[in-house]
Amino acid sequence: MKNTHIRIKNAHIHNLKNIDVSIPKEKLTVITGVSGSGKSSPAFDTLYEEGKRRYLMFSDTQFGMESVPSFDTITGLSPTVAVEQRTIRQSNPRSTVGTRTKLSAILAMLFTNYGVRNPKCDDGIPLSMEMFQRNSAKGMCAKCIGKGSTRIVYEDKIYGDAGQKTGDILEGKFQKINTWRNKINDYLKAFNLSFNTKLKNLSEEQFFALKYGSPKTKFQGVNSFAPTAKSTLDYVQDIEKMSGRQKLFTFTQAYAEEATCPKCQGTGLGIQGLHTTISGKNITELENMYISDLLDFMEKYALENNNALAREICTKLQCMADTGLYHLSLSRPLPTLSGGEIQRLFLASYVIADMDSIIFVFDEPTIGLHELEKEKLISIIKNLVERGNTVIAVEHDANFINNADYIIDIGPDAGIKGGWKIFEGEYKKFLECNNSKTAPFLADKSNFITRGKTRQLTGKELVLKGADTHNLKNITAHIPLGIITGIAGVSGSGKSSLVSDTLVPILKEALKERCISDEVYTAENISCNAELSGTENIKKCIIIDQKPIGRSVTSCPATYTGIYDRIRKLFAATQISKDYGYSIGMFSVNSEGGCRVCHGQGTINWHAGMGNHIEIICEACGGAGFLPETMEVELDGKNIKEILDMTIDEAYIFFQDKDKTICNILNILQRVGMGYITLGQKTPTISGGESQRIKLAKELGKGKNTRDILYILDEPTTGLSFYDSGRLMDLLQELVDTGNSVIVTEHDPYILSNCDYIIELGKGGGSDGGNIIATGTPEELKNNVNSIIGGYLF
Amino acid sequence: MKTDTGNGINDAIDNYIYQKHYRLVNSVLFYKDGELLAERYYNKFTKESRNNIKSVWKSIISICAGICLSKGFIKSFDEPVSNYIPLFDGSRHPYHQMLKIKHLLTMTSGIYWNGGIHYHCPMLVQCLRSGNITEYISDIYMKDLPGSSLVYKEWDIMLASEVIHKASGMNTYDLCDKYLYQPLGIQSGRWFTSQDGICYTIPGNNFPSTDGDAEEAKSDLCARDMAKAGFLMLNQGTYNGIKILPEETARLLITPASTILGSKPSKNTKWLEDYGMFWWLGSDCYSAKGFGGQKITIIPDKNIVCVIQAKATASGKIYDDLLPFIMEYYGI
Repeated sequence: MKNTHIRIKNAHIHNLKNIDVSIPKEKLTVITGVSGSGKSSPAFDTLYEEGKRRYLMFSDTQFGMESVPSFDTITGLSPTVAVEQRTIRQSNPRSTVGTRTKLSAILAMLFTNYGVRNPKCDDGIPLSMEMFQRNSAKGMCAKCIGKGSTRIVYEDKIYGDAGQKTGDILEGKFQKINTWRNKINDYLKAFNLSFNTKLKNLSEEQFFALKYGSPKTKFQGVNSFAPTAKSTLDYVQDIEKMSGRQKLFTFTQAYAEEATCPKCQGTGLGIQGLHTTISGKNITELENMYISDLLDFMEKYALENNNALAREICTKLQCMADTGLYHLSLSRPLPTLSGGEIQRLFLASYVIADMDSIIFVFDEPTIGLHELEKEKLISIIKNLVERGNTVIAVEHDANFINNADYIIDIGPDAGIKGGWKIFEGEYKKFLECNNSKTAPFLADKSNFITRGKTRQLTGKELVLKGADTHNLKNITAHIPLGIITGIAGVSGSGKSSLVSDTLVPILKEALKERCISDEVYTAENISCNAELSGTENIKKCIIIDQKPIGRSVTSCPATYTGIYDRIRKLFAATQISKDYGYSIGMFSVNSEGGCRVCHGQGTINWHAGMGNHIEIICEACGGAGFLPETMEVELDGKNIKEILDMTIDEAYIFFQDKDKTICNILNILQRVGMGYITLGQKTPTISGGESQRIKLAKELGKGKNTRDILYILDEPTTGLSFYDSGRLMDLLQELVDTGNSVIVTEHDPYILSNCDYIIELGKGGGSDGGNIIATGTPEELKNNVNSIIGGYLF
Repeated sequence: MKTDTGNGINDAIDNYIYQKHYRLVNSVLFYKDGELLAERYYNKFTKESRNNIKSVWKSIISICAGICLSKGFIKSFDEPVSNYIPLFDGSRHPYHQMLKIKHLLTMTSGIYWNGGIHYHCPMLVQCLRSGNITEYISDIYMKDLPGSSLVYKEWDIMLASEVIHKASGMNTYDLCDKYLYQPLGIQSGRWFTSQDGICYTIPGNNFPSTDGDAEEAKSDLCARDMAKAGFLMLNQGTYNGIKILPEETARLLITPASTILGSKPSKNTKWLEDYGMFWWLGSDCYSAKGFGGQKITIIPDKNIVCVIQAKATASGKIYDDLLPFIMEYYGI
């Protein structure tokens, strides 16, 4: 008998409460629930994992790995493809949109076969594909070896004063670079110099060696480590730990920079690659074009030249444009894409592949999309279903849920209070489901408005004049202070260009250390031409982005927020720790307390071939990541691992009578809607939106009763259910009520409807964007014919 | 030492090569105390047959550099390269200011080299096709400070060839022919010269209407002529009474790079011991080597010169066991 449904019996992984689920095949199914309710467990951790395991087993790609079963039976499985945001977040920095989609290779092929060569460089020998690939030694520019940039050292700035002593440079200017200490001493010894020797007294050879090093010494010269602003930050890593002087140095006193390579004009290409063109443009110019523009360009070219290869490129570009990626360029590095963008990039490649009978599992595919773009994406996904595929999406978006054939709701709350199946069936019936935390928002949109009316403008404002970064069309933006301002617009319309690449760098320059962010400073994003006035109205600016918290795989919310240090101290203060002489290092996986086999990760990563990795639990520590003796120490009946496994909500109760500071931080985490995550949740499994809210909590935990702070947030509700979005919005409202200002870049009409003032950019993405098309209160935008988002507000 | 009875050594070498499946070997010459004890040819080779010399050419250029020094074309190997190639005056990269001729000869220029020690480096293709070799090389990223790291690469030999050209005012081959090949009676064709005047024996198919293999074949040498270069070095600059190089210059060419540079090398220290000025150094010998197994080996203490030639293909081997086998045969 043919299976019409995928049936999962008795699923109990994570917090799932032994539920049975049946998902119709060749339909679009949405799984909803509040954040942390366990809604992704049936889709990703059960269905996809099992589908992958079975497929790999019968295809003999690998032997089966026995793991604890997380369900009783699953029937009706077919090959399963999952597109998760988190797993593809970390990518090779060299891979770009073009390399990932293979479009760069096809373009290179087009240039090899049909490129028009500059007669000056045409040596009559055929071109080869590598000549259009900067990562290939045949194609790269020799001067910058394909990087597109070369290092320029401001020698005048370092050595200009001939009266200064070598010590002024080696100790004074670069004193923070301690790793060079031995080499510096080696230099002094080799040339019989001291820190007191004046530059003007150095011989030519000695001065040369000071600048560039010498084979006579291990010292490689001051120029080799003269810091760019960026390298200083990379070295110091945590900007908050920098002293005010260091920050001043970082932002104003760079001694070197990475400048555009003069030979290849930044293209990274060799002579042949640089001087071969298609319709007058070289391959780098094409790769730097927005996909929508490139599509127009290639369509014209394909038509004029009746070129089949160009037509193939157009087909693929069209797919990418349809999935809402028209604002990207092929040269864009993958790590700079948002989770949603990467997911759609993968989606585009599946659409291009044209397969059927596949089960696709998506993780919030509409993230980061404008309402207009969502409609396009939904139609693409529906198209996948029509072709005979089964699509299962974990999603919060109202529009998306509305379009689903089948809905499964998991809840009702997060963590241990979730994991039950609340609803399974069609959309219409779902609206009547009273137990669900999602359904009421769908049934009545007014449930989402958190305040009755918008605030009045205070008169204070930031004025950004002449912004022309990226695609911005020399615009002037008036950003009111003392209220919540939303920045809206379709993807690529210039929201990030305005906020992250123009406003933020200028604020950093103006406020110096009073501007707090994780963003690594680069010379290029300060070179915007815009002028900013009104900064006297803000005391401090806190920028909260979506970058992952922490850099190590063992970092977690507890380490990031600083709770961990306090927990370790509590453990070290117990009697048993004192008896055995355990210090706080004993309670850290990164220090002496970590398992020696898995280095504290709890799992060991096995490469299973074909690019597949399987994580297995470390046998030495049983997955805890700690030494057994560490685990024996208990605090009020819980060991360190058990505490790290607590959700924020649980920990809040646990620490109530133990540590007030911990409780305060936990409470703020609860208020930003993060009550469901565990203290020890690993960074790679934390979404961009979650990271942002944790950062927000950390900042909120620092200062109380502060006024005149400007908070800048980038799509803070990413990955949040309606219920949790509401709670976050309450918090932002509270911030503003105590006299602060908030700027949010957002797509979500719910959040935008709750803003006091909206600046909408548009009207399209890429070169079609970059203008302010509408400003005003949500109410005003609804009646503004120029506004696109207005029609979606309520 | 074993007394040679009839074809003993010849049979022994033939058998050894047969057993080892050394099908690509074309010639084997073994001289002891100036006497040619063994001379074997395979694959229809004769004593007149000329074979690709590949990187043995680098050691020939080394001798040419020595000639320039002795004739006063070059005052010292400590001279900056920019004296002869002004593009390297430091305006393109500050490191060029300290680039000296000795750095080229010891492969320590510090110029970035991508991949492999043979002629297939993709960057080389770009370079040869650029139309201006010195300009191309002068623009390449400087990976290391000159004299600090030994990387076997084509840039240094190309620049050395060009320095000889500019210093002597003669085409590099013409200089070699006049002062080395003619006095020693060595038969060679004219080396390939690029449109910008650089002599480089292995142009490949990187120049329009140029047959790379045919151009390279012009630089081919027969085994006995290769041996002459060996004897010149063995006798410290003199061949058959003809003085080509002063003794101290001949000795300088085979001095370890570490000594020449007087440096405290941080990387590739072993290489700096094992490489002279385009000559490979061993504990008791030195040699000129080329891709595919070409080799001239000189063992000064034992008064030995050995030449091996082979067809240079990708499956070519290094036939380093042949000479020890012959020496063992003679009980040396």
